[in-house]
Formats: sequence, C-alpha cells, structure tokens
Amino acid sequence: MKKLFWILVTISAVMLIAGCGGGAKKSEKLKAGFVYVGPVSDAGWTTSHDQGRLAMEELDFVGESVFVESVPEGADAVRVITELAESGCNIIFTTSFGYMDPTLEVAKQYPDITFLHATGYKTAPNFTNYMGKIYQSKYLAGIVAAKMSKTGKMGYVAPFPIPEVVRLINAFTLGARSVNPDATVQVLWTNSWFDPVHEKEAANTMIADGCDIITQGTDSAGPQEAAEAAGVHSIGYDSDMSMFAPKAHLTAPVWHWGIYYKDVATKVHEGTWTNEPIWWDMSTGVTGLSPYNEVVPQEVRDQVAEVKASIIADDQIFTGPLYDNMGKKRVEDGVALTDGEKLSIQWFVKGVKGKIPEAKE
Amino acid sequence: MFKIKLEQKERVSKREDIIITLSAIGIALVLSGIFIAFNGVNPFVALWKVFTSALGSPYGISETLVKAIPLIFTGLAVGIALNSKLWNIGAEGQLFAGATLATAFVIYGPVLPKPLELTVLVTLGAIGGALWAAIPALLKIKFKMNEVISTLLLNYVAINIADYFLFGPWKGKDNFPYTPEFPVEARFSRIGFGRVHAGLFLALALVVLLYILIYHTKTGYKLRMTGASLKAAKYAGINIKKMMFMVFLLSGALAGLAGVSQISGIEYKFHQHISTGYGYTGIIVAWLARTNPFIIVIFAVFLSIMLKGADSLQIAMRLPAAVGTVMQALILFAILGSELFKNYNIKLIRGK
Repeated sequence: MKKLFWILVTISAVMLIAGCGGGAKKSEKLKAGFVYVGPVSDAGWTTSHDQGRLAMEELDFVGESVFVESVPEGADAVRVITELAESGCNIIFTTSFGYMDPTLEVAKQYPDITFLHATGYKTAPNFTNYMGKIYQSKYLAGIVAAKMSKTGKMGYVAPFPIPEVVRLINAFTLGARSVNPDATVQVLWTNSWFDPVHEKEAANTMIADGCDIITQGTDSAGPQEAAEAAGVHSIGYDSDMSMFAPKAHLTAPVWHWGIYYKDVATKVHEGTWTNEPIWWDMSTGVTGLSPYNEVVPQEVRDQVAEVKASIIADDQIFTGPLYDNMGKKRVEDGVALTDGEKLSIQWFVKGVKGKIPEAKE
Repeated sequence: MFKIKLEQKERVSKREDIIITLSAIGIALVLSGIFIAFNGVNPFVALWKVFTSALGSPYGISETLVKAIPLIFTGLAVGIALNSKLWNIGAEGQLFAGATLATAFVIYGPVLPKPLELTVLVTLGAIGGALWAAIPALLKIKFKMNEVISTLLLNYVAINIADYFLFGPWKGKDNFPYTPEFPVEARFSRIGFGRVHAGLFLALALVVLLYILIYHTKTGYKLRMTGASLKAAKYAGINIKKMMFMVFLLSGALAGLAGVSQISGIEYKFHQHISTGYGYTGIIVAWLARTNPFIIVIFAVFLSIMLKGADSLQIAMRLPAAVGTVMQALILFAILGSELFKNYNIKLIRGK
C-alpha cells in the first residue's frame, strides 16, 4: 500500500512538472488532432493512420499531436471533433467514412482550422477529403494470390457493400484473373470495420469451403490468424500483418499515410494548402505492398514489379472489356472508367462470388 | 484460519442502502484511479478533467444532457422491469426495434404536419420496442424461458434486422448504410441549449408519470408486490402473468422511445451507430438508481459524464479509449458486488 502511495506521488509530481514544462514553451507549432474509428492497436487501418501521425510529428514545425480512438460514427463524433478544435488543434484528420457529415458540421463552426476527411467526397473552404488508390496495390496482391493458390478459390472478408470496398474487391479479382482466368473470389460481409471474432469466423467458413487464399477489406488481423491456423495462405490489408500470421501472410496492400500527412502539414504550415480532394496513386508511395513472405518465388516478384511499373506509367486496371459477375458487359473495349465511376462503383466484376444488396426503387 | 459466514439480512434500511451504493461508486472510482495511474497519468487530475469537461462549461453541460437523454429512457426501461424483479437485458434491441419501425414510417409514410408526424413516430417507436419485448415476455409466461437469455439474444436479432434495411432497401444514394436525412417535420426541436432536444422533456415527463404509476397507483402497488414476493402476490390474487406481460410491454416501449429520441432528436437519420450501447448502460443506470425514476435521472447524468469524460481524457491526457470502458465495467462490478453487503451480514468465524 505504501509503495503504491509513493508510486502515485511520484507520478503526480512528474505530471505536474511535465505539465508546467508544456505551458512554458508556448510555441507556434502545428497541432494536429486525429479521430480514429478503431483502436490504434487494430493492426490495420487505424494503425496505419497512427504510424502516419507519428511520421508527421517528425517535422520540426509540427508539435505533439493528439488522437481519439474508437469514436462512434454518429452524433458522438461531432462532440469529439468539437473538443479537438477547442483543445487548440490547427489541423484535424477524421479517418472513416461516417465522420464526413459530422466533420463538415464542425468545420463550418471553425473556419480557421483545416479539416481533412479520409474516404469521403464532400468539401468546404476549410474541409476536403483524401484517399489513395490502394486498388492498384490490391490488383498486385491479386496477382500474388492467384500465383500462390492451388485451388484458384480465394476468400475475401469484406466490411460493407460500399463503393470503396467493392472497388478493392474488383481490383483484387482482376489482378488474380490476369494470371489465372479461372480464379474466383468469394465475398463474405461482416457489416463492421473492426470485429476480430466475426472476421475470423468468416475466414474459417471460406477455408472450409475450399478457399486456399484468405484476404480482407476489414481492419483486424482475425482473418490472418484464421489462415495461419488452417495452414493456408493469406494477403493482409492496411498494415503489414505478417506478425499475426508469419507462415500464411504472403504480402499486404498497405498504407504509408506519413507521406500524405507530411505533405498536407507542410502546405498548411506554408499557407499553400487548398481544398482540392486528394486521390493519390501508387507512384506517390502512399500505398504499396508490404515485404513478401520468403515463400513467394522470385519469378512472381519480378512479374509484380513489371506490372507495378506499367500501372504507374498507365493505369489500365479498370479499362474495358469488363464484365460484371452476372455476365453483363459493363465497360466496352478500350474504354476506361473515370475516377468518378471508380469512386461510385456498385457492381462486381466477373469472378467475384457475392452479391451487393439492392437499394429501394 | 478464519471462515467467512454469510447471514441473510432481514431487511436493509434506506440509509444503509444509500451508503452501500455510494461506497460502491467510491470504490469503483478508486480502482479506476489506480488503473489510470498505471497509464502514467495523475488520477486526481484525470477525474477532475472528467467532471470539468462535462460540467465546467455550458457546452459541456449541454453535451452531457444530450448523452443522458437515451440513458434516461433505457434506465427507466430496465428499472421498471426490475421493480417486479424482471431482467430486461434487451433494451438495446428494443431501442433498435423502435427506431426501425419509426424509420419505416418516415421512409414509406406521408410527411405529416410536425406535431402529428412526431406523435406518430413516438407512438410507433414505443410500439416497436413493446412488440420486441413481447417475444421474451411470451416465452417466459408460456414456456418459463429465462428472460435474461431471451432478451439478450434478441438484441442481436433486432440489430441484424435493422442492418438488413440499412444495407438493402434504405441505404443512401452514396450506397452507404444510412437512411436519407429526415425531413424537418420528423425532427424534435432543439430547446435552445446546444444540441439538447425536446426528447429531454419527453423523458422527464415519463419520469414523473412512472413515479406516480409505481408509487401512487394500485397497479404500481401490484407491480412492486410482484417484485417483492411472487408467492405473496399470488396469494393476494394478483394475476402474475398479466402483470409480467404488462411490465415487459412497458419496458420495451420505453426502450423503443430511446430509439426514436436518437433518430429524431440528434442523428436525424437511421444508421448503425444510433446507440453506443445505451441499452446496456441503462442496466447500470437502473441498478445504481434502485428503480426510483427520479434517481434514474441522476445516474443517467452520472453515466453520461463518465462516458463523455472518457473521450475528453483521450484528448487532454492521452489515455486510451479502453479507460472509459474499464471505468464503466468497474462501476457495474462494484454495484453488483455491493448487493452481497445489502443482502447478507458478513461474519468472520475462527475455524480450524
């Protein structure tokens, strides 16, 4: 008990000193606030953003940043974003689709603060959206998957039937079928970004159904663990997930948000920031593949490197002829989907086994 | 060696009851403090921050009230059932059932003048919640199925039904699982204090009505008697089954109103996150308040302060989000543990 008392006293003292120190050196440094949809330890989407946040802090004009994790995507988000604005942040990042309207609502109240929203589409003078063309990395991962698959059957644990997720499933499938025209991708929805147990179950279901490659659009490492336990291969997502599945994990399409966060912080600092929406491609380095598992042969690595170079030179992933999974021709020969069409895509390409729920009307 | 012996108490005095409840909260706060200290933060500063962020400014107070509104509804829902010793763990599902039914009217029904539209929505919300609660009620009365299990499991069913509509027929133009924004007619007015909306008045009116019902009517007397002793109630000629059924419907209706209050009061649309576990937090509220409606308001505000404070702690103290969940869990543990002290005298006996 006495020990605990002294621990508490020491901690209090340290906190007091640290607190005073912070107040004394009042600086003009940029203070960034982040709103996360999952815990920073999700090993996926939120982890990738948090690594970006830490990378941004390395800039000498950026001060210590602050984040709020596991924020519900509803009315609570408005309060959290407001509190961040009130706490002195000059630049606020909200990193899930559901924060779009809440962020916009708060942005209108604080015209001097720059608000950035990942994965949305709305803008305002001090508010814009940002995303990277991770579908390009998904296409590359699809090639690796199909090359390593024996059955040609792959399982995809997917969060929501929204355009972003549909686009990534399509790109993965197109990549896989570019090297194995018979490859199929089974999709199971979890209706949640982060639900490790449910994601693991979905992966196990598909493994039992004969899938020997498991990949995911969800945020946890659950599917990876399922693949490792079942002795099949897997493709991670968002962050390098190899530590959860050292044998199974072949590679993962990953985010390097630090590249974008450093850029936007510099522009805000220099006063050159504009509210132009950002959708960066692979050449910027904001997305890419994580290091390969040693079982991936050199021949496959070379092929992927070749395709990567050609995508950077001329992205033809969503160029016709493209058929949907009901056999209907959706894109004519030689015609490319526009960015707008890619961003709102709501049909699966041929080879995807799954259904997108229909809307009213 | 000592042995611990438990002796059943005859009765607990009101004073003893209050002291034990407050001590339980105190113990929970001390344990939370220790947990916070292990995260390298001064627990006194942290707890001070929790309360000042919630009550230290008009904005903080308004946001505390906004979050307290659904907790009053769900607290009342769980509390009314507890009055007759029935466990409604299903307020979360009933909340979604109420919201789903009300949303169906917004989407498929005509847009009525505001007072009429809101009356319809509130009524449908109550009916939705009540219907969902009727299932475990019938299962209990007809087949003696334990209501703890049936109400809990039906939560997942209700949420999945809501998901079906959100991901299918009701999804937004951008293909995200959100209904379109509700028209102005389907929104509660704000009362001119931050985001606080008229749902607060509805909640407070129900608090008064329920207080009168429980403590000043014959039905309320029967209800409490059913809770106090089933045998005595039967002996007194009370129709227990009818009583239970009624309590369940009322409980479900109250939880359903929490759903309407969320969609019409603050979110202005239906989506997956209209409740952040309000149905479950309502259980803690009801347990702390010992079923008295007025005290439920106090503890709804208290839990709102804790939940909201957890977010503020992340910003001000860099504490992980889990701190909030841990604090809530510690309070529940302490309260449940304190039941032992209310019902038993604890004696140490020297043994072998």
